[in-house]
Amino acid sequence: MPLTTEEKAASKASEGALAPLLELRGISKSFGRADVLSDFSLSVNPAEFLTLVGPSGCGKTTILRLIAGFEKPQAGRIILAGRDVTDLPPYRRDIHTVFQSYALFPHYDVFENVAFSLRIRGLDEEGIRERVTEVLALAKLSGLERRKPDQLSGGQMQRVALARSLAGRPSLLLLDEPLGALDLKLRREMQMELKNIQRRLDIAFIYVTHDQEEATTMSDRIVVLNRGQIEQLGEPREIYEKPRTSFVASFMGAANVLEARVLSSSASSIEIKIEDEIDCAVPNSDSAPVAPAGRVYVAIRPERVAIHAQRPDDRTPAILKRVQVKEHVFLGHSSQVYLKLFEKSPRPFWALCRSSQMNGALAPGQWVWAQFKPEDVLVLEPAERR
Amino acid sequence: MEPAVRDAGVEGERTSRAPGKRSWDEPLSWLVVGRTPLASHLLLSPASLWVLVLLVSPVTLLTLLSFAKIGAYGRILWSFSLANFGQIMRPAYLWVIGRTLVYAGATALICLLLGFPAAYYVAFAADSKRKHLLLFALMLPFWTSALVAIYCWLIVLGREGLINALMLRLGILSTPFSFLNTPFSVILGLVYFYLPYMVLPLYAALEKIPRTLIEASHDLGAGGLKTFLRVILPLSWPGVASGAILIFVPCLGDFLTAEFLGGPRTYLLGNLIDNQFLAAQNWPLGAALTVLLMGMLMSGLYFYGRVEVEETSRV
Ligand SMILES: Nc1ncnc2c1ncn2[C@@H]1O[C@H](COP(=O)(O)OP(=O)(O)O)[C@@H](O)[C@H]1O
Ligand SMILES: [Mg+2]
Repeated sequence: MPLTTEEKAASKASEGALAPLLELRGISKSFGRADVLSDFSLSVNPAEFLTLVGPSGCGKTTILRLIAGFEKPQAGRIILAGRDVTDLPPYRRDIHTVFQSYALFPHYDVFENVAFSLRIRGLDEEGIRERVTEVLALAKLSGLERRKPDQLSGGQMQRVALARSLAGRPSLLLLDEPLGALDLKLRREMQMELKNIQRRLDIAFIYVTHDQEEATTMSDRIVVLNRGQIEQLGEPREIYEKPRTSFVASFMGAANVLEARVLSSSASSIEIKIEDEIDCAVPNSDSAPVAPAGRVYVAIRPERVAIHAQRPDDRTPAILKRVQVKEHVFLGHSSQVYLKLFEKSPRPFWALCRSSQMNGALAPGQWVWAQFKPEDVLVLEPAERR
Repeated sequence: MEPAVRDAGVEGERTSRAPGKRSWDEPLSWLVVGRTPLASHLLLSPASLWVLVLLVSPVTLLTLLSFAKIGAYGRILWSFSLANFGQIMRPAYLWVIGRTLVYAGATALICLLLGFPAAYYVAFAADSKRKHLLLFALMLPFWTSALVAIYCWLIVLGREGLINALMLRLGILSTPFSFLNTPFSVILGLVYFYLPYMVLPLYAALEKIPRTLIEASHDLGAGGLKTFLRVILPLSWPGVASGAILIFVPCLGDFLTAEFLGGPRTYLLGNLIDNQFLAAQNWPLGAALTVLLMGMLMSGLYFYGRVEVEETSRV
């Protein structure tokens, strides 16, 4: 098929920069009348660890199934390594999937499960044995070759599923909540291993999870999804430190989301009044200043709020207020302290404190000093009128 | 599979040792017969009686009869002679037995070839509304009288039947062709009657295969055919085996089909037995043939049982 000039120009342009491994362009997908994705675009770099994170039902699995080829989009194109694969069946795409349910073949043993894609490709017996042995060693499964899937533990099945999809050396691996069925300790272990394997093999991973901590620890880049839309895309630190919306702020880590009025704004700072009570000047991180008199959401991370029994002496610019304690929840190594920071606002406000720095429990009604820095007030999207 | 066998061994040991260990000093221990309390035997007695009257006694009678001799006018002379079994070994009878095995095998094979696509379609392709309709259609032959169905086939296949009329009209044939009384018509009839016995277990086996396994196979690069050969077929094997045995076994004893759609040259074991009891009035020979047939059915069912055990131990 001859390329149009537009397509040629596009492929030229992408050659110069880092050519993306996978591109979703304007994908729309609905099931019956339910629109799951509309005009969804995303590009994935070679050998990167990209995580899709979002609440259950936001379309994460649908995106993976579209990429793998199990679902056809109603509109848009899927480009893999410069080739349009939108209309190719799953078995013609250089992509493998680790299924949440593992989907191991019950009639094959571990060796044959892992060898499946190699046999399909008609590799010779010697080559198959070599590759399977290598991948099994990588997944720490050596010695289990002749076990059937029903003779394995959950963690081992997970490893077989991973080994099976790695054996074919795809350029892209899709993982749909692969650790969802494992207990917490095993999850943490597997997270490290997955990350190490991904680095070692130089395979791009698209990883789906609804666990923000998992996303933060493993990923090169995170895509935060909400209702089929990308809320924010960026590196884990960026997402945590500079969330753009109240959804991202509260989904990726804990946040006190409050409403504020913009009094004035310049290129360097924004003057706001939080919940009509607290005045502060926060640094303007985005160069586009917010319109004055507009209302915005702001977020304050609970771990950035300090609580003091006496008025602190330090003179660093900070918001300092004498407030009443509503409730003290002891969590072990840390404590949640709910505060009555605003007279009128119904929004809860809490601080996360190291338990070791608190002298005993705080009683409801007790007066304390709450302190946070202006740069810890994160200005988010404009607030909708209600 | 292995553990199941080992368990059975342990079970057997326990049974055989139990009577020796029984303490007669225990009050009411006489109520226990074997390992089962007498009350259970009493409760089970209607069923036991049923089995005794309708199964054990006729089979015993038949077995005794198979060793008897035939006197004048079909009189039965009770004896212990192997003459009847000797007679079965004559070529004329062996031919019929061989033919029966071949026809039963062919029927099972043809049912498999026809039934697999049907079961596959119902399990994978049909939407749920159509699925129920198709399953119902598959069950229909069970509810029609076999005789009515046979007469329908006579009308379709006969010399003045539908097929001949059509082919003569179209000029494909110049004289009517006799489809009846051929291996073709007999096997056709058998396939018609036994096809549901293949489709239903196949459907059940296919329906049980998780769809993600098929997706996983596609995902790993296997197209339709390779997925079928490497995933679907091996996983539907229990259904194939069940269906084949469910067809092969009753085909060995079938006599209606060959009686009506076949002729002397396509007679099966069932017809031979029928003949010995009714036309030839040689009950001892008929009984010997029946004992042989039962032996073949039992071994068929034994293999079926083995497959079942394997299947359940795998789950
Ligand atoms: N095959 C399907 N038929 C109908 N609706 C579907 C189907 N698959 C997914 N959906 C719907 O699409 C939405 C997104 O689902 P999914 O991609 O599985 O979300 P996630 O993986 O993020 O939890 C859900 O509302 C779900 O009900
Ligand atoms: Mg999902």
